[in-house]
Amino acid sequence: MRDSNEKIKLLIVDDLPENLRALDAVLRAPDRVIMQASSGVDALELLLTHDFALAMVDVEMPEMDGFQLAELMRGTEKTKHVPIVFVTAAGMELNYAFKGYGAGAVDVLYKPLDINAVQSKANVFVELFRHRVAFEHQVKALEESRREQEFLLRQLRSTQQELQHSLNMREEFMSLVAHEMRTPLNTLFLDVQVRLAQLAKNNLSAFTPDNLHKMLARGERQLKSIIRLIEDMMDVSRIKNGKLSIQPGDANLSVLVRQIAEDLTPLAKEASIEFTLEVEAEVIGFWDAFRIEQIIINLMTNAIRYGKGKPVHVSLKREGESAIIQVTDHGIGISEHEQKNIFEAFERASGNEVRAGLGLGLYISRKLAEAHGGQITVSSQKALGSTFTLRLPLSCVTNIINQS
Amino acid sequence: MHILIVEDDLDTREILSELLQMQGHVIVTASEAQHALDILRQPSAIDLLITDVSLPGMSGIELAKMSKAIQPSIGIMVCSGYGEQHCEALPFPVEWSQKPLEMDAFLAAIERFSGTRQ
Repeated sequence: MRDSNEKIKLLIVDDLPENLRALDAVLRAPDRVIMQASSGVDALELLLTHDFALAMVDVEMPEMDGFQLAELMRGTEKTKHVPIVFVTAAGMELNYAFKGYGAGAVDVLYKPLDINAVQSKANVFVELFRHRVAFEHQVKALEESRREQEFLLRQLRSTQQELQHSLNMREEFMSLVAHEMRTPLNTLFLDVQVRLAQLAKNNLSAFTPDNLHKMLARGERQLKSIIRLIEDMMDVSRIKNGKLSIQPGDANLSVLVRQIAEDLTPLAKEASIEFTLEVEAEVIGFWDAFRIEQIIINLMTNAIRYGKGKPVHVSLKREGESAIIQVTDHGIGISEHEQKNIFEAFERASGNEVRAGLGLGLYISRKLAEAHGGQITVSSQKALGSTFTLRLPLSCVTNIINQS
Repeated sequence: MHILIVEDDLDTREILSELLQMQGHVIVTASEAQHALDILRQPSAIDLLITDVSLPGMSGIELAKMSKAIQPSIGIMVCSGYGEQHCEALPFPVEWSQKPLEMDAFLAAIERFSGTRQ
């Protein structure tokens, strides 16, 4: 590509050095380079390596004359558009002009040369060439900007698709949140309505200490599940903003795992599930016990929920500088395709009819594990069950959860 | 009436039982469809099946179909938080109740079954 600030090149061809010098002197200008050739062959060589605004060619030269040179120029792609002005000493009566135009010349000048005419013609071609270069520049710039626009458009389209996808997810999520909130609220509401009806009927026998205890326990469970829902949502929001931090301290995982298993036993019984524990003693490390508990509870409640009433095995052992916790169920399992998504936000093993909360649990658990420098993995087979493995370094290093 | 409640949430199950017992009904409960079918196959006459749609294992809709096959005279009421479209797939009319259950509307629906029975 020619630079528009580049000097413009003119070619003069003549077998006599004094003619070349004379023409050079006439054509010279600060914005031009005058190149000289003393034969047709030299001229062709220059023409093939440079772009000329004009070639001023002497007609009468030994070996290759001006007309032959012009014909060769017209037959070559690179040189066929270079304007040719013939210079001849022959008289006008010789009809050179006619022959010259036939060979592709744009003009013919007769010696002795009129300096003003030569300069003025050269100026015209230099101007034309300048315009052509500028025009080529514009075309190229336009082409580039078109390509850029296409690229931007493609980017815009894909961003828009991503945005739409995340908007859809948000919307689905909102409706899920509404439904998940409504379930415990519904139970609470019904409970209250039934009590009010009993009071209205003056049916005080419904309010025995035993019944009251049951009632309050129910209420507490429903409220807890609402609170957990809100906490999950807040955790996700904190993770997305990179603001969830962990506060590690000395923790005894062996005690923690046994405690959680005990706490979850009533829930497991309700689903006819029995825990089998295989807990190595004194697995001690430096963790945020509250957050680790959150992960283990999530894994174990999932095992209860999807375990189809079959025993759930929980193991804890030390392996090198890591603690390994495994929760294995023999329930519905997770297909290979679903395994790719279950640790993402707002995803959940689809196609099952089991109510399963917001689908945030494993995402939060994964992020919490990562914040401890650990990880959670799953191995599972559809209809055979799943094993979730939580691997934690005994002493965690990072304490800010990364976004994504 | 003899009513079978199929609901996987223990608390909801308890409250519905208590509410319907208050109205003088006899209540049997199950937490999943398979157990419900076992109950229906026993020679105790259940007048009305109240089932949630989303249950572990078999769905409430499947359960409704199979219950009708076991006991054609049984009344069926489906409760769901998700909407009525589930019930459109059923080849027989059912009463449908939107969760959250509003007590008066729920009892009125139960009364309609009671009425058709007498």
